[in-house]
Amino acid sequence: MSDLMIPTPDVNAAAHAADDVSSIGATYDYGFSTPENYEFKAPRGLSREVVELISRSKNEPDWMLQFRLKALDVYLSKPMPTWGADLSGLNLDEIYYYIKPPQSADKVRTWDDVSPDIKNTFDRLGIPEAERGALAGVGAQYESEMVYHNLKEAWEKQGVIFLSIEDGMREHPEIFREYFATIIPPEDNKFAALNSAVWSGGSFVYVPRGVRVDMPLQTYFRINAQSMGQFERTLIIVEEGAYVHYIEGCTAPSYSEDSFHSGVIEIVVKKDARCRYSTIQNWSRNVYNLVTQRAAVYQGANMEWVDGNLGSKVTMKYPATYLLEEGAKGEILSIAMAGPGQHQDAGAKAVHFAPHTSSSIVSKSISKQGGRSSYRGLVRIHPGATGAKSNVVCDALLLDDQARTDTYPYIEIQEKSATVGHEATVSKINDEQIFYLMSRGLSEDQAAGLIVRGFIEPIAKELPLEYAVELNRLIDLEMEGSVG
Amino acid sequence: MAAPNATVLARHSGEPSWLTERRDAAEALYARLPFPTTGVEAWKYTSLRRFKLDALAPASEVSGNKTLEDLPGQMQERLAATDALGRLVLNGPSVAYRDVPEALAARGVIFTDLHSAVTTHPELLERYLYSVVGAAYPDPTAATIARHEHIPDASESKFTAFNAARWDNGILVYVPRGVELELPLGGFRYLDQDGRYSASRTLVIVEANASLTYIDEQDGADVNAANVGVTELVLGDGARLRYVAVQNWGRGFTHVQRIRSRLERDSTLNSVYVTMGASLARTEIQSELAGPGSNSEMLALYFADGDQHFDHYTLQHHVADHAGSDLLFKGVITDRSRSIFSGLIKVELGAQKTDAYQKNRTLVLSDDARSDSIPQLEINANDVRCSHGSTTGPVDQEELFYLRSRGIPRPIAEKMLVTAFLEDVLNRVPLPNVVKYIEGVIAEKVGAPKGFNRIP
Repeated sequence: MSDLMIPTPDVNAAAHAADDVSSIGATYDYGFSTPENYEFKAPRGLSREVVELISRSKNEPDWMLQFRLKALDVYLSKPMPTWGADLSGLNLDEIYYYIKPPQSADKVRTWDDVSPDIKNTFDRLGIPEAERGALAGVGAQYESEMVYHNLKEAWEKQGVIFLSIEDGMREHPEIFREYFATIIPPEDNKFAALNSAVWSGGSFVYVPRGVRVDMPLQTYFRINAQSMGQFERTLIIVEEGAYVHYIEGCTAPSYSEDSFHSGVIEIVVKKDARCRYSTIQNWSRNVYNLVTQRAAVYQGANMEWVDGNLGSKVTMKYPATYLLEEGAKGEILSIAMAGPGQHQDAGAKAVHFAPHTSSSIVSKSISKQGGRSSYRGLVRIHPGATGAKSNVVCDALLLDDQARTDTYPYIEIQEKSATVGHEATVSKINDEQIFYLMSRGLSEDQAAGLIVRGFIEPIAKELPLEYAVELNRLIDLEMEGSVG
Repeated sequence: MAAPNATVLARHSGEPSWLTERRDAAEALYARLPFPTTGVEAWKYTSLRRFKLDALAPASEVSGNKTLEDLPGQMQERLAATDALGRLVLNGPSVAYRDVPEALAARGVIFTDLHSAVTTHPELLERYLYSVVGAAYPDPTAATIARHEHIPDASESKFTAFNAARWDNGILVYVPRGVELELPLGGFRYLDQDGRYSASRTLVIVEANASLTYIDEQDGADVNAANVGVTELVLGDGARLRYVAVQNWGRGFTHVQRIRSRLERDSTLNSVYVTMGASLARTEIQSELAGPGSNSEMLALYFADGDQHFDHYTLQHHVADHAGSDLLFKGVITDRSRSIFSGLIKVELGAQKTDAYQKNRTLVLSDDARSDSIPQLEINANDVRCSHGSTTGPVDQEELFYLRSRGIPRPIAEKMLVTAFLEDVLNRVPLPNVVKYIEGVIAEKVGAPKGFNRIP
């Protein structure tokens, strides 16, 4: 496995170097677009009418329309955040809040049913191929709607539900209503309110008691149109003793006009269950990515976030774990890479409510060429969370003198017996390590690439193999010629 | 908005016009700025709801003899224990005792109260007073100024404006180029007036290649009073300053202080801040590494009990390259007390070869105590070594077990561990007399006999 993780020096490195960093956008393999193809496109901007239109087009029950309208009021009443990344370039009036692709997931069963243009896109992204191989189920969202959602029969038979969020709402209303918006209410923050008003697409996952889905489920998010706003909404319920690994991947074309992705992901992990949620966010450099993710974790259960942020112009995302009952555990692994014009404002939250809960946060970031990566985190121990333990480690690597990094950890302790530690370091690539590797015949770029891969290895090794390889490949692309 | 009263104005009359102008401008600014609220990032964890500064009257002059015997008992005791070469005691705005050897003046050292200095050293004040902490808005020394994502809130300049306008007295220390003082100088401030505020100001100037140890102590009775203080430390090229601040105001005090140092090339500041007193203490400690090769050591220890609320807001601001800073803040909280540590290492573009370290450790002894720690980094240069750490937790159970297995009763064992925890900071202060005094203050708080943890 290790030689897959750390490929031997690439004989084609010189060829790669030709199209290197000077035009970093060129190395974004997913920047292609297909002609806009939609059944329906709402006018630019947000209004009550747009919200009603989204609801109508989904044939929603009235309670959901009321929920959306209330959320819209909350959104309008909340000010823009004054902390974190610079959002002044995000023109919320120019965004298309809803674009309906020609068909949605409820009508298709195989990739052959997907309209050719869209299928072509996902073929180029390698999704159908991945599904045949290593995944238990695949969902694909194109613009505002899921266009494909399929779960392998073996899991369906065991009662696993893996549907688009709309189908989840329609087909399993009792489960849906019990949990929807209970983990992240619209009042939580401005963008959660926005998502609540205009959500469209995302996954609904239900894993019944004791069922272990030992192959990952994956959903792939694609923005194709310019100035598109994508408002994914995902709800994952893992019943007692069950297990699931859910992966989301994201890409978009490189347009001159900025697009916007604002998701809300709610996860419930019941007693002794385990959930892993992995993100490989590789949006093009013109996407604002503002996501609220939170898991409620019950007795003895385990929630793991693996959060990789490589793309986007601006990301603000802090996966949160609420440890609600005794013995609950949370683990967050976060990796960010910020290149020119990028700000990765990533981080994590662990909130301890119950005795003997534990959390671990490991954050690694790499910044270069004016890119900025920030760790922003919260560890809060509430009174009564006796014996709670939390440990946070943040490491930042700065590749050149234009790179920049910040660390903003908030540590709030209201319990005497809690043990909480935080440490962070910032450094550049060690000259001695480079020298050593070069003395062994590697070029400077290769040496730097190797060191960076070593730096992120603790996180890469937590990803399924093909994603680890993909992550390493992306890092290689990003690293070419970037040491100086 | 209360305007400064007639007594204050009278006290300021006769000051040179530049100073009057600065005071007036600051007064106008103070009137204009809002009072900090918890809605502001810099004051997120500290509510000033019950602090009515404008309802307090300025501390009044204290007349009487200016001999050692006329000082309050605890001050006499304190002075007897110090080995300071020069000693200056202020009771409120009044000089209560002055012991400044002639020899100091002969070497060009100035050690006097600020009020007198206005007459005796106006040029020096005009040049340096307000040079490190001014009264301006936007305020380049506001608590959050260096945090690039926050536009400092106007309220962050409220208290520095107040002090700039109304400082009643304070202390000036000036050590000329190349003069090295072997023994410390000590400034001691005392306040026991109920319903009053003191706005004290300290200005320490250590010129190129000079060296000084300065002890800055605050002591008082348990009264409803406030201290709104500002300390400016100026270090010239190659200067060395060891600065020890001990805040031991009485309960009932609100203490708001900004201490800021500016370090020129190759200068070294070794500072330690001890916070024991006051009901609410907000201490902002900032070091600006302005010259290459400068080095700032920032140590602190605090022990909060009862309802005490301690808020430390620190900044290690690396402007120049090849500079170092090392911060270690250790605190103990018990009963219903709270401690807040919000610290930032800021490395500016071009400040290569910075070596910065920041550590906050909090020991929690009670279920009702609360600790908030926000150790932050903002790094804009890549060839640096920066790290920070923060730990919060109870007394180490294994250490406790070990001591108990040696027959030491639990309460004593806990006290020993608490004392040892704080001792860690004191071990880095090579001033036996001062350390002994601080140990006494700690012991009083921990409830242990003085020096009991020391092997004789």
